[in-house]
Amino acid sequence: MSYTNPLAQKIYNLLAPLIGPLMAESAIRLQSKKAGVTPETIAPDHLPVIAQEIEKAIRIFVGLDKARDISAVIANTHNAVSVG
Amino acid sequence: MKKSTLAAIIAGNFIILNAIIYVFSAVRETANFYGIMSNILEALCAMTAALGLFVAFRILKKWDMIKTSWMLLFVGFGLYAVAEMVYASLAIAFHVNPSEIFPTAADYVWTLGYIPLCAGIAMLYYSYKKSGFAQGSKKFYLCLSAFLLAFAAVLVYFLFMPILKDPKTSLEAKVLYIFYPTADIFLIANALSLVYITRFFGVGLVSRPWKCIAFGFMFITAADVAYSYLNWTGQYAAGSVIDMGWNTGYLLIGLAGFYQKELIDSINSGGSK
Repeated sequence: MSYTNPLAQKIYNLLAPLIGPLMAESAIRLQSKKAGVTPETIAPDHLPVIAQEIEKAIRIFVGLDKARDISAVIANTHNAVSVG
Repeated sequence: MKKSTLAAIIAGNFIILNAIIYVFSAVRETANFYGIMSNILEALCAMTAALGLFVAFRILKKWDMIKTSWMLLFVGFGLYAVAEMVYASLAIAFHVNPSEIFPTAADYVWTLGYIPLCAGIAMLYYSYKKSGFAQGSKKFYLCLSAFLLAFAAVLVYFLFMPILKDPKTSLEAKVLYIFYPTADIFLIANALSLVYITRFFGVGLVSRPWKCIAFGFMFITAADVAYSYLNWTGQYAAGSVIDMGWNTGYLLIGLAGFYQKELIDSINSGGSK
């Protein structure tokens, strides 16, 4: 899966190896919807909400502390994108 | 070599050893030695399951529903390991044939083990339902319900009814013969749902522990159902082919724990490779 939005792509690249490409795509689509946007229109302002929702979803697999670590990386994705 | 790979290799060797024991106990008339070997192997496999689950439980730092689920699975398989050791001790040290005297002390420990196991696997499944990830089609759950109802009907007709009508079987034994497959239906319902769900994860790292847990429970359930029938009809003896079902199940559950640790280690190292 490839997104034209670099933020969505960064989140996808982080999640896909962990939960598989299909679920990563589904998670980004669902959590973006909860933030009132689509994957292609995710902006830095939406990241905290999306990160929080993804944290809730993935904690079942990796536990609360690791889910929080991943959530923090997603919430700061825009810094990584603007730097890199 | 990764610890999970090493654990998988050891598990594979255990199963090969189990197959050798089965073949030899089948062709030799004096099957006692192989029966003892089989009892020891079962205790080792159950201990491996408990160890793997303990590793997974410990790697999760914060207490939440997931850590609790892994803890309950660990306690359940810990009790299974104790039961296997009691069973093996009865056979080896006290020269009791546990398949002739049913139920034994080990059966009560196994029964106790079901409580945390059922709670643990139900919590895992409930947590997944709450996660917001794909749940799958209603058609699957309808088919699963129909399959389980049919399975339950077959068990009631071909196993439970004859056992209940059997005047030679004590009330205690009847309750336990019926308890094992009934509790297994609950476990297999959750396990099959997990197998279905893990299909959505493809090759994602998170799928490995869940797949191992799901398939592990399926092997254990199949062996339990076969055991209830064979033991009641007097055809079960240690070293039987169904022991391989339990051992494979135990080892898959143990592997699930090691894969869970590998998943967390992978996140700690900053990559999900």
